[in-house]
Amino acid sequence: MRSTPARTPDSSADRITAPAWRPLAGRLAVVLVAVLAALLPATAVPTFAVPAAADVAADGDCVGLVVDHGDGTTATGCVPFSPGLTGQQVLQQAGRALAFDKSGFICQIDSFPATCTANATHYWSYYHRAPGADVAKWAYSQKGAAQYVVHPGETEGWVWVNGQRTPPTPKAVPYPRLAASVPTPAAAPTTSASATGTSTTGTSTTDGGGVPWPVVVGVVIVVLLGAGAFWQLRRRA
Amino acid sequence: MSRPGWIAVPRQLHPGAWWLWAVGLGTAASRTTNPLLLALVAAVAGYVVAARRPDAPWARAYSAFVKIGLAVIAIRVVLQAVVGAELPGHELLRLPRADLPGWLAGIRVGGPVTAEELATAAYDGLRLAVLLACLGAANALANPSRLLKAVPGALYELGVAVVVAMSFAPQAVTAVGRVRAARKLRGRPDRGLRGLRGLLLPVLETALERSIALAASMDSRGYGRRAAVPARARRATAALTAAGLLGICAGTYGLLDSSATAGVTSGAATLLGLPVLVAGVLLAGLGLALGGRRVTRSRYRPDPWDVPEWLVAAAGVTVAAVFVVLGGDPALHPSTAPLVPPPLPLAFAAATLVGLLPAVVAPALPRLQLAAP
Repeated sequence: MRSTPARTPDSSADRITAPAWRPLAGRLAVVLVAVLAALLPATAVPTFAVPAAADVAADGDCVGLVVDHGDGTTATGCVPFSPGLTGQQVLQQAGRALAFDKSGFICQIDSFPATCTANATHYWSYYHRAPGADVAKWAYSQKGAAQYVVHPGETEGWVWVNGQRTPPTPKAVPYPRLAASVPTPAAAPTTSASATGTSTTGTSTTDGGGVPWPVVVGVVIVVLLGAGAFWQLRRRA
Repeated sequence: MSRPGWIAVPRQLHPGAWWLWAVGLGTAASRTTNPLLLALVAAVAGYVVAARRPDAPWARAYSAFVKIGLAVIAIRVVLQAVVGAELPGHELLRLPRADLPGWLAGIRVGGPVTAEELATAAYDGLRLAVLLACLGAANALANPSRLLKAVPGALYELGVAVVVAMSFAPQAVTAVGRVRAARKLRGRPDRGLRGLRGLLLPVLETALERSIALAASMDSRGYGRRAAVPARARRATAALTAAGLLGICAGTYGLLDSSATAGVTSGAATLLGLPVLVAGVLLAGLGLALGGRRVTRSRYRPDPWDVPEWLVAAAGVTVAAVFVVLGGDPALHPSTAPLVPPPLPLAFAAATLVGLLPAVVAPALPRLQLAAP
């Protein structure tokens, strides 16, 4: 004696109110809408894309760095190469203080510019110069600094674009001059020669000890309001 | 304890006042990513809803919108952890990274997940969630059918669309309760994922059907009836109204979207906000006044716009005004990289608390209420 396994009364009743695909379609639509709503602010991922620089470790095993403020101030350095080193780590190991805006863009290097603002016309522009390439032959980076993996002998260039129509390229400091300024391979952070850039480490280190009073006060007010709302609901019930 | 007459008499507040108040709170929320201020805005809205919501089916809209908001935050945080922009900092965990080909450079999948990243995503998601909560508050407090009564008659071309759009959310919330009760009676799951399965479609369908039925009933009662007006006057009215409404849309967008006005040095971008909105309101007002001449319907017991209405609307506008005028304050956008505890700027916190005013000045609700049509 076998009962039909296909369908319980429950699910067949379901079918009468709506065909099987309809709840699914409705669910998909809702999920889609929610995902789109959440994606909206998420799409501000910085997109660059890059011609991988030639893997010639020809002249030297440090990675050059030119940070050009665009106002005549240039900080330079050379960071010992290690496999997997990213463009951002080069900046950090050279002792540059970085600040990021909420999209992950580098908005300040060494507290320049004064405020953390990066927009369509004012931003730190990121370049690479292949090992042995012409001194002014900068290639616009097509990856973000956190994603780009550097090659030995390459030079990383940063220049502040201050609203110019034709974006400037970093100052053409030759690689040998950068490499000459490299200290021991154990490499404490350095800045070199023509560097007049202030290397304050200000912005990046304030996890501050102690009680964050504003947070406590804010949370207390919110909790009080919540308790008040409960009291109102109970009073009226 | 004597209260002024305009508070003591129980009645329903004009729904337009509730919407102005809620939009004011929403504008404030859209202007900041400071989690403390955002939580404060949501708490203020929640308190007022608790104090003044009617015993009507749509009054549950607030908690429904808060739940949607929580889902938005969760989705935003998960997406950020998996594919969002990398922010260096305190690494919490490391997801397996998928290496994408060169032409997909700039998109990352997996990799380290830092506290800074998650905080950024949560702040952003919270802003959207609080905006939703403000909408929920308006939906819970304002009687949708009375709001429709207040829609100017000259807008009858848009009236039907507005009817469907504005009553959809409250009707959906009402329908959820009804479908759930029905499923419970039949002994089917009414909660959780399994409950959701049988819930969504009937709810969407019912809400839409009821909204359309409402529009149809208004139509059949002569809502869109028109008097004889020369064709040229009619066209002029339509053009004025359309231009005005477009202006209102553009202006509201400029006002709400802080990125269109903040941070940009050129003054041109600020043109988009308030002035366009004001011009739009003027044009639309002119169009409505002209259009009103051909409307021949009468009003049955119009909702008064009295002292409480002015106070409630003013409370919302005050909150919004403070956030917009002092919009450049860095405390509105606390840094997430480096990650620091958010500040609680006193001016903004005090302004947000002004939004509590309606809990006191709005008149108490009449004890006995009729359900929505």
